[in-house]
Amino acid sequence: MKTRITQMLGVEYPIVQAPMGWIARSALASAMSNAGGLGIIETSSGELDTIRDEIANMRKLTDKPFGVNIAQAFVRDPSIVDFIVDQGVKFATTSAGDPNRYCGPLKEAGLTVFHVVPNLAGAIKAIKAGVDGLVVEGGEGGGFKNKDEVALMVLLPLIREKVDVPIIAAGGIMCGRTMAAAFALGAEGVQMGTRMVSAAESPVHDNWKQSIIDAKETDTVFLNRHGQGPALRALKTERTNRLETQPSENIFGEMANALDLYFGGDMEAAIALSGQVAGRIDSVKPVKQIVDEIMDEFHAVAKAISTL
Amino acid sequence: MKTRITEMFGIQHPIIQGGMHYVGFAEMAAAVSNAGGLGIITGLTQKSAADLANEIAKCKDMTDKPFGVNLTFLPVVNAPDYAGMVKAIIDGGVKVVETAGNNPVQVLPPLHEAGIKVIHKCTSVRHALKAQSIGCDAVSVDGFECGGHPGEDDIPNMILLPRAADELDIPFVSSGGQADGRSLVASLAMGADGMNMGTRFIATKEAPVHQNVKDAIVAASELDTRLVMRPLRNTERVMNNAAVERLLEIEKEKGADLQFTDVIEQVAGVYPKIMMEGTMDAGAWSCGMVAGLINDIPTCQELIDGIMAEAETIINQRLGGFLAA
Repeated sequence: MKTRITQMLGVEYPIVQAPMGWIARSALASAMSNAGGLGIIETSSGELDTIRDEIANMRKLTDKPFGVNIAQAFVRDPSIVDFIVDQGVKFATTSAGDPNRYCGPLKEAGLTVFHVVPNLAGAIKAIKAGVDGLVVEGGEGGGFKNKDEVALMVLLPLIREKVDVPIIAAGGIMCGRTMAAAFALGAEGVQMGTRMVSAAESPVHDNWKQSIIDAKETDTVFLNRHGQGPALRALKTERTNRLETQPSENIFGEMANALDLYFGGDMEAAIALSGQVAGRIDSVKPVKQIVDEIMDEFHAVAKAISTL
Repeated sequence: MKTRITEMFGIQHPIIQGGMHYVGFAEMAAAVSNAGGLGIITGLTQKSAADLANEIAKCKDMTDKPFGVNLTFLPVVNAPDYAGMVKAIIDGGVKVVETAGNNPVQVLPPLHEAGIKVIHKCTSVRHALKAQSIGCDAVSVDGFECGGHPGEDDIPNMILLPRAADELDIPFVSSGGQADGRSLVASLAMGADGMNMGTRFIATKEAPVHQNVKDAIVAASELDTRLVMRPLRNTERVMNNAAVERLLEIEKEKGADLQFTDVIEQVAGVYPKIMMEGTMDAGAWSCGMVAGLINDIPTCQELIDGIMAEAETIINQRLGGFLAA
């Protein structure tokens, strides 16, 4: 398949794995790149020494392109751009902050830069900052979020009308039908987070993957809509149910023991970030199978509606 | 374009104009039906069964195409004359009824006996399955984006439509966030058999509402709707305005103690003032998130023709291009 996204990223399929902190490392990202999509390595964990090793490891695990994300709200090391340039990465997404901050330096160093946006004003700002493309993320998606919660059904065509750069759709994507829908609405690529957290190569504890499989579409909560810091979408647990009625003063404090949840499997230790699409995920699958099934279904859907 | 919805309702295009309070008059429904979609008269906007019969007769004078009537079942003390309205629908030769609100099981036997198809509005998969089990012919699946009552689950259509497609046997249309050929193709891709539009049809030349209402929709961004009455578990998505900001302040002040009577000034009896007189700050009026996508006020014919042309282009060129490759 050829779109501006496949051409810009040098990949076979316009499918991108989202950069979840601690999770988007070489095991998962190399599986996505080897499957023909684009794996992305996270930096939001702040563990740059480990990330350096993970990127070196990527070169052993795959000869395909991959990218790196800068989640700006989590950046502690001011030399993050130098760090990424030094790793020889060619593609970066920036998110959770002002697109003007890193776009220029990254582009000067020859990288292709996409910024993640939650609404039209954010998209226009990113375009002015000079980005090569946008990741347009709807309120459906999991993780740290803008508080506005605009649904992809409205957001994608709205931004598509106002910008010329290629768009990767994020939020609610897990199959060929949702990819075809995103393409109809103006995207040329898709990004998946929750589907990747629950993939076979994802390093998280089986308890988290099982919680995603068990979840209905109504089993996520949207937290911190009014408090300091970002909102977030996560699985319903005792902790998140409590946070829904008694908001936390410090939402990041609720993530202090995240690794006990991520890798220790204690679902109450922190917040299990997840999109509403958890309600549609019913099994753990290898990344390559997920990608192959998406492409097959995309083509089947495109063919089916062409006969209406 | 032929889908299970066009076949079931005998319409040219799989596009329905959902019932809207003080918008769904004969003028609106006839304009949509004449343009090849399915126009719908809002039953409860009429003050009596006799008035509804007159509105149906008026619509019949304006179009020879199929149109429908919306019957919304609300938990109110003085229930409207539903039996009389059903009789008016049957006697008026209406072919489609859109039901909304509470379970419509009471009206299914007389409607089905008269050969009328029933499409029920649902905001969740479980409600859609219930509608299917009691014998509804189709459902309209309302995503969280939709204006009016999106329910309390907050599931947008990118999730809700494929879930509905997985579970339902009967045909369904998408509702909420629908504005153009792109939304139609996206809905079809996710398994719907057509789409329902509300807000988009208010911003048309024929919509029998004050120009201020249409202008407000055109001016709105994707961030300009608000959810009100959430603490009452009667959530409604409305256009933001001074009355809505006041309403949200009251909700904040009252917290868990909020009663319907606390916000009655902002929500009860406000539709005639807004829709007919154009007093836009008179109260809360239903409007979808899709207002952010609406930039013009076409005729219904222009709108529907444009949607179908855009849909064909997307299907044949944009998506079809990948099939050839």
